[in-house]
Amino acid sequence: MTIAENKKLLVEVSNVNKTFYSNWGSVNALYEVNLTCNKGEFVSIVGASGCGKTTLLRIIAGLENPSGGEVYFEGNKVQGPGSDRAVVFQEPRLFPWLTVEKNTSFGLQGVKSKSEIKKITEESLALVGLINFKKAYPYELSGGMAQRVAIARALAFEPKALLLDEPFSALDAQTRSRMQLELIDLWQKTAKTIILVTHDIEEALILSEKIMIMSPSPGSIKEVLEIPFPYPRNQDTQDFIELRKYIKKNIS
Amino acid sequence: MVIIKLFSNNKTINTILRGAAFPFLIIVLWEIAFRLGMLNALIVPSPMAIGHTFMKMLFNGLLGKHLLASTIRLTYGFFISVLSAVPLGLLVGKAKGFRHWVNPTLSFLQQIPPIAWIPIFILWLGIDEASKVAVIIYAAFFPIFLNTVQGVTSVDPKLVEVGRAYMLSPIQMIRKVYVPSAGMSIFVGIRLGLSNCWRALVMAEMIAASTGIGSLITEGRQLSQPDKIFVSILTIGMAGLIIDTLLKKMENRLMPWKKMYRSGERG
Repeated sequence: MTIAENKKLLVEVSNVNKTFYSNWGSVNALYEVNLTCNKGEFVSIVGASGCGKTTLLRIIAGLENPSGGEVYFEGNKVQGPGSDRAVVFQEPRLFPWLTVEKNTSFGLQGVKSKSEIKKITEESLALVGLINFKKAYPYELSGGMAQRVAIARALAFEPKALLLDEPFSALDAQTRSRMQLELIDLWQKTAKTIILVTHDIEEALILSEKIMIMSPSPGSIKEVLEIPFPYPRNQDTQDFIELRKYIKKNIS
Repeated sequence: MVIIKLFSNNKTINTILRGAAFPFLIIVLWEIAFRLGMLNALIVPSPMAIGHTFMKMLFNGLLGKHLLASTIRLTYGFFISVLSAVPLGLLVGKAKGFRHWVNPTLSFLQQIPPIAWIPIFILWLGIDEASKVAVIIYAAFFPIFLNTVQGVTSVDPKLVEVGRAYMLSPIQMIRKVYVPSAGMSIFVGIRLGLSNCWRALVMAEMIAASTGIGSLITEGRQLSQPDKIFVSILTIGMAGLIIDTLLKKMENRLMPWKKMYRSGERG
C-alpha cells in the first residue's frame, strides 16, 4: 500500500461521503472528499458554516462513520475513536464536577499509573499556563481558561494528532488572538500534528501551513493551499492580505 | 474578609429570625388565647404546658427511646431503598428496552400510597420491625428511583461524546459520566425519599407499634393527653427538618460544583 510506504503520511481521507437521513429527507453533507495530512503538519480546513467541515473532522475523529469511503490513520483504517487522536470541541465540554486537574487527566485514569498521570497532567497544564488553577472547578473559569483546559485534556491524552473543531469561535476577539499565538507556540513545542476546522480565514492564515478550502452542498474540498509565510505571521504584509482576499473569494 | 464574614453571618441570622417570626407569633397568640380562657385545656393545652411536657419527656428518656426506635427503622429501610432504587434507576434509565418492561408496573405502584400497604405488610411480615421497614423501603423507593432515571436520561450527550472520544469503556462511562452527572438528581431523589419515608414511618407506627414516635401519638390519643400528641408532632417536624438540613449540607460538601447551577439560576 502506498500509505505504508510514505512514512510522513499520518492521515488520509479517501473518497469519503456522508449523507444524513431525517424525517424530511436526506442531506448530502460530504461528497467524495480526499485529503492527506503529514506528520507534524498544521492543517486548517476552512469553509462557510454548514459546508460539512465539522462532519469531516468528526469522521476523522471516529465519532461519526462515513457513508462511503475510508479514513486511514498511519495506514490503519479508522473505525471509531482512538487514543492516537484527541478532539477539542467548539465548547470546552468540561465535566462540571471535576477540578481542572481531574478534567485534564480525564482520558488517562485506568490507562496509566498514578505518578505518570500526575506528571502528564502537570506538564499539560503548564503548557496551557493553568498550573495554578488545577484545584479550581470549571464554573470558576473564564471561557478562554475553560477552553485551555480542554486543550490540556487533549494534550494529556498524548495523541499523535489534535483535532480542533472551531475551538476559539466562542471566545472574545482579544482572547481569541492570544490563544491563537499560544497554539502556535504549543504546536512548535510539542511537534504534534494539528487539524483545525474554522470558518475564520484570518485564523487559518495565522496558524496553518496548509489550508484546505471547502465548498458547500455537498461539502467537498475545492482547493489546497500551501501557506509559505514564516511564524509568527504578520497579518499586514501585502502577500497575507492578497491571500486572504483570494480565499474569501473562493470560499463561497 | 472579616467584614464579609460578619455580613454573611448576619445574613444567616436574619434568615433564621425571619423564618421563626411566624411560628413565634402563633405561639404568642395561642398562649394569650389560653390565658384569656378561650381554649379548653383538656383539648388544647397551652404552649407552656406543651413545653413543660416536652422537657419532662426529654429528661426522663421517653422521647429519646421512641425517637431511637424510629431512627433505627428509618436507617434500615432507607438504606435498603437507596441500594435498590439507585441501581435499578440507572439500569432503567440506561437500557431503553428494559424500560418498557418495568415502567407500567412501576407507574402503577407509584399511585399507591405507602399507608395502603401497611395492613398487608403486617399480615405478611408480622407486627414486628419487618413490616415497618417494608413501608419505609416502599415510601423512599419511588422518589429515589424516578429521580435516578431522570438524572440518567438527562445526561448531556455532549459530555457522553467526550467520554467516547476519550475511549471510556462502558463501565467507565457509567462511573465517570452517567453517575456523577445524574448525581445531583439522585441526591434530590434521596432527599425527597428520606422525607417521604419519615412520614410513612410515622403512619406505620401509628397503626401498629408499641415503640417509635408515631406510637406516641396513638398513645396520646388513647390516654387523652393532647400535650403528648403535640410534643410528638413537634418532634417529628423538627427531626425531619434536621435530617433535611444535614442532607443539604452533605450535598454542598459532595457537590461543590453545584454552585455553578445556582449562580446560573440567579443570573
